[in-house]
Amino acid sequence: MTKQDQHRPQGEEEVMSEEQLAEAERASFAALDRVSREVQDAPEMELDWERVEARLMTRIAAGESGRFEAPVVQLPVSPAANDSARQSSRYRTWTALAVAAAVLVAGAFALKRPTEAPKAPVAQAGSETLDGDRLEIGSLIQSEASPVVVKHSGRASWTLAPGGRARLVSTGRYLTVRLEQGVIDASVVPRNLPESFAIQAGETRIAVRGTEFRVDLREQHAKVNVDHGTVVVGLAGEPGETDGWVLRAPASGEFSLDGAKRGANLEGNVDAPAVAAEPVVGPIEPTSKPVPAKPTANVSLDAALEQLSAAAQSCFVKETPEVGGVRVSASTQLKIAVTADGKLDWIAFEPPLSPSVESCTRAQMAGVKVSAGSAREAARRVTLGQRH
Amino acid sequence: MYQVADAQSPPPSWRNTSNALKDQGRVLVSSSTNRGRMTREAASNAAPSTMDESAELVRRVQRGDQAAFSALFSRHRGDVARLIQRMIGPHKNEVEDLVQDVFLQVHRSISDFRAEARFSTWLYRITVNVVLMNRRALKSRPKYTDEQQAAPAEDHAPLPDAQAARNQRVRAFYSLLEHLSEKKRQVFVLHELEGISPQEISEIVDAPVLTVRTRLFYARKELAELLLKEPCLAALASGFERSKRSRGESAGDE
Repeated sequence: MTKQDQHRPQGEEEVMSEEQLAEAERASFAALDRVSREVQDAPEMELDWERVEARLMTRIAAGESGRFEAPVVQLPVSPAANDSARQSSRYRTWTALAVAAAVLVAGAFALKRPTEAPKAPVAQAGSETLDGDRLEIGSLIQSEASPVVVKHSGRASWTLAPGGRARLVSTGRYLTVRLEQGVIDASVVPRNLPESFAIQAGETRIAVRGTEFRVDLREQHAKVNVDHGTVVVGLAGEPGETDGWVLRAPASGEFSLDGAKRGANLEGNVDAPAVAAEPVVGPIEPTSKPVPAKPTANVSLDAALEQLSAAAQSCFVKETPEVGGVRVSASTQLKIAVTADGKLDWIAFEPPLSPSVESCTRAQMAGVKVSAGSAREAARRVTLGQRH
Repeated sequence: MYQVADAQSPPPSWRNTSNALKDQGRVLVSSSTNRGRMTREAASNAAPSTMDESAELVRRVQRGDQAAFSALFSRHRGDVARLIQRMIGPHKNEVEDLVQDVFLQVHRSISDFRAEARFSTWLYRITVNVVLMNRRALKSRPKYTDEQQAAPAEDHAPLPDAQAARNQRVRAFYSLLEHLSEKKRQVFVLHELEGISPQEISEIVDAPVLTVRTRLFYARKELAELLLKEPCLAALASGFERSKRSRGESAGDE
């Protein structure tokens, strides 16, 4: 045993004295030094700096840091951008969508604030492949008669089956897609990072590592099939920290949309949540339908947006209580879209709010019906928080 | 303020990095006889303009100048990426993600940065913490045994044997680094691979200098032992051992 070893308890070593170090540092580690030099001299890894910077700026703009103002992805865009979108074969279909596609490929900080009713960025195409790396957070992807494939270079690709609708929720370390309607088949490149890709359905997150799987959003539940690898299905909370049902391929199951509190028709290798409160296996009952605070007659789109703002404010205050005199506020853009018959089609928050706030807000808006009009979408930037 | 090698911190191996760090003071010079050992002369020759430029960029970012943040990112991203790579290994996707995390943290916290500290030290401290947090998050996750981790991207072009062997040793060395405790790996990478002095490391990892030096010694000792267990590195180690013995015998003959 060397002199130094005598000072080596379990765990971290005892700090040496100056004299001990002087002696110890005379030791020669020639082979180690040689390999260290080789590591230093090894060519540096070539990174895609353009992509890294774009993602960084997107994350900053999306509110992961509040220093700079978020990019406004709304109409109107400049005629030049509009023209370039029309010329793009990747984003065809009708004019409004072409305009939205132009918004998608525009620089995150290049657009100006809207002066009239905005529209959500939408990518809609028939049997096309979209470059996921160029989609902005909040982009809505819709498929009609043909599937749409979205590829995120080196990370994942996913296919939205015909008639589906999905929204890109996050594009940073954790790539997250919110499935709003239909079926997604996903293939995820194995990475040394848990939950590098996830699909959200309601308040349920289906998070994966390297795997191939399918999520089919039904009325009251999401059906998950895992062909390869492993997925975790649980409450959509902090990315990377999903706890819940673990499905190892081949496996399948149906999970409620309230954070997968219930699972049914489990087949294959499925582990129930280890820490979740009383996971239930059995038929998935319809979850308690959210009831609007007060049933509303047909209202204008502007009035619906006003209701949405009020609902978001009340939910934010309720779900984000003031603690120790510290007031919390959040700035987000509320977006609302209605179907041709006036029903709420979707509600979006960009950047996203916490799942509980979003869920509460959606619940309060259930049942709201919009009177017939030409406009189908509207947006408003709001600051939510405690008011005194 | 320039960082210099001083008598209080015996520098067993001040090393050069392939990219001279651009920030103030930490300019390591290449030399055929002494690989990157930093001298007072070199330190005094470090370009103050780069220091001023970084400081000016920081001031502008603190005033909300978005273009300055982009410039700061461009200036320091290579150093951050290199440090991350040396701490986690050559995993391109993870490195790219962590670089984002570091600069996101820089963006969040830069209003707290005070000019009396060196920006590079502050940046490295953030980098080390981000890597540490990432490792902790990974450790807290369940291990899935039915999945294979993506192998680092390799150049499939044919390589000369010597180069191929060197690449193999570098990969093996990164694997060995994983066997070190977090604290020892930090100081080893910062000192041996990045060429940062124990004094500055003590600021980065928030530990006394003697603690840093102790960790460094044990890190080197453990790695030297691990080298012998790794086939492609053991040959190198035994070669040095043979050479050392023959030198000893020669000296004994005389």
